[in-house]
Amino acid sequence: MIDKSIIEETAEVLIKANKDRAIEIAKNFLNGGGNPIDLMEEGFIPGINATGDLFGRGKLFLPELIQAAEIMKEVTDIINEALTGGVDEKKERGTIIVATVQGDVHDIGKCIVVSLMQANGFTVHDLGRDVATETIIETALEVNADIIGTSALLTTTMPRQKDLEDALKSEGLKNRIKTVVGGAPVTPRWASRIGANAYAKNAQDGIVKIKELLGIK
Amino acid sequence: MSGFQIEGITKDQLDKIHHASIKILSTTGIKIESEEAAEIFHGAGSEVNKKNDGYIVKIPPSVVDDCTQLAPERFVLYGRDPKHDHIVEPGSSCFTLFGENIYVNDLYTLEHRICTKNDLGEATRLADSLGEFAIIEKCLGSQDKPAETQSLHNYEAMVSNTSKHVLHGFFSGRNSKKIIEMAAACVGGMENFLKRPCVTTTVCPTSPLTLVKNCCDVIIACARSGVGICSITMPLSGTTAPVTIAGTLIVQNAELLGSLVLTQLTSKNTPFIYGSVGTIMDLKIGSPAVAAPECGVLNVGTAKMAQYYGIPSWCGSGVSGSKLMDVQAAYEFTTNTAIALLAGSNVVYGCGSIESGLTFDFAKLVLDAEQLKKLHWVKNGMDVSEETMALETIQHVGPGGEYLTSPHTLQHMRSMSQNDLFDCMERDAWANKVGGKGIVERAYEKARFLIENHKPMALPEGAATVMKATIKECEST
Repeated sequence: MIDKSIIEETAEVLIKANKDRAIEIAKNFLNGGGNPIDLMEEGFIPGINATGDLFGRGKLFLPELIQAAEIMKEVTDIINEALTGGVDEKKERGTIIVATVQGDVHDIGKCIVVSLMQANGFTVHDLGRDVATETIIETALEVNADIIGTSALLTTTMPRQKDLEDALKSEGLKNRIKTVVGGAPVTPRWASRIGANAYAKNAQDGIVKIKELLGIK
Repeated sequence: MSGFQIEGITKDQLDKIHHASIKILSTTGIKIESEEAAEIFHGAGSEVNKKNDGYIVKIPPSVVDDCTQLAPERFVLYGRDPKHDHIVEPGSSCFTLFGENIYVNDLYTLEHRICTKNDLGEATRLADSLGEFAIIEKCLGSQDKPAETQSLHNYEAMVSNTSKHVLHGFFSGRNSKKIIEMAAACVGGMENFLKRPCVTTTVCPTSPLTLVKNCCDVIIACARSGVGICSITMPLSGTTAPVTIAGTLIVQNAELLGSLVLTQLTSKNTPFIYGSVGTIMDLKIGSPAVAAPECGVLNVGTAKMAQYYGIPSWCGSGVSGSKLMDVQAAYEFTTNTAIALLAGSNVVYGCGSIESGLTFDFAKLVLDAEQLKKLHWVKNGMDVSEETMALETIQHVGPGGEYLTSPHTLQHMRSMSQNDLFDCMERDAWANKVGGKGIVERAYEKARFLIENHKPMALPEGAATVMKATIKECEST
């Protein structure tokens, strides 16, 4: 168990984007002999969840959420370093590849998804926009991804999501890597028709679906 | 005739925006994701450096100045039928439909569903029948057709249902050539088409500061074929553009000038329309706030910057975030549409759409048209002349008389604004004449009637066959 004041302050420093204080809290706690996993699980993860929750309720602006996610990333690096035996805490939460499919140059929605995923402590590889199916699969294998999330804003580019499913199937990767699809014209019906593991109607829903797929509560 | 207009921005402020944009173009540069386009910029003296999947192009101020001079201030958007020719020039304005809906509220069942080529044909026919729409934008996509050839299907559905000038995105260099062939068949051959091009392409710079390959390819293919370019950028303040309106205006101006320069360098004097459907991103929910007041103010900036350069403008304004045909949709449509119109936008864009531009609604198009008639009437302002001052008539009627039977009234009453669906009848008349129905229900009825009964001008013999063959050929290669 860690001190209640630390639990409260971790949420506050994330919400107020006080990076220096966040790092200070982590270092002081670890230097004082505290358990890095406790700090993560009882302090920073509930803190970032609270941040995400405030955003979900319209109390925080997106740039504030992104700042919190960046601080979270730095703190996570410090905690990982402190962990003996090299256990990768982040890895346990999951590695996700995110891309806007080939032919599609609209990716602002996807950028929001990426920030939320980072805020929730996932390791995210954002491949950007207009990304070829082969590149997505190559990177997924390279970083040992658990999930591939793709977005398509145009109905003309939606078929690339199906191409990805077909390629994963034909390369025998479907059991190893799960898929989430989203984007304005994408529907649950489309997701099930092409064989995607989940459909996310927005960024918040994406987090819910990813947690479900990875069995995280 | 005086007419109403909004100034909203001073000459000094316009100069500042211009100089800042020129600085961005010449020092930061824009990203061009097409080798051919990069070569065109390079040939005209721009500094071109390869970067990742494209080129950073720095355009000297003199090139921008030359190209804004080359872009025409006045041109004609030709209809298939000459009676629908629309002249774009300073002071002229017209309205068109929102362009990228992917859903439709079914005309009969009102079911919200993915839209089809048939819906596009019907929506186009409705817009053809409504006098307020001088030019017709592709309002929804043929989602039941393959992605690669969808723009060809879209054009076929549209040109078969309207003889007004058509605007839509050609999608790729190859499709541009094919659509031009199809359009030529619809006006009796390429020679006629080149004299009176009846279609304009829309292209979209990608904010911030990027022209992707398809955008460049379509600009080059169309400018070479004498087809005009309507460049529409879509900056979202706070995400793809600075959070402030002035900053957004600078980014969008740099993007639009970049696409203008490519157009004019490819072919001098190609008609170019300076367009934006920019607005702010709602940073609390992460969705574009399509009807924010900032959108209205940005539209004033768009129209005034275009006037500053002496080129026609296009403002995206009438879209609503509402999912329903409701009060929100009406308020949001009217506010920003009125602002864009009064700022002098030459094309006011955004009719018929709800759900932030995702859903086309037939009743919305009908009601927007009726509201546009009123807005246009307001813009025209008042005429103060001997005839309208009616001094003799006032003296003749004198105190305590009436004007109902005056010859002056008979002479001018038809120029008064008139309601069609909007209702100001007294309650009993309303109950008797329209059965006490709400306006949305009556608008759907009017839409159905017009779609079922309006006969668009037929295509010349053989044109339908040429279009089908062109699409078939593209789908088999």
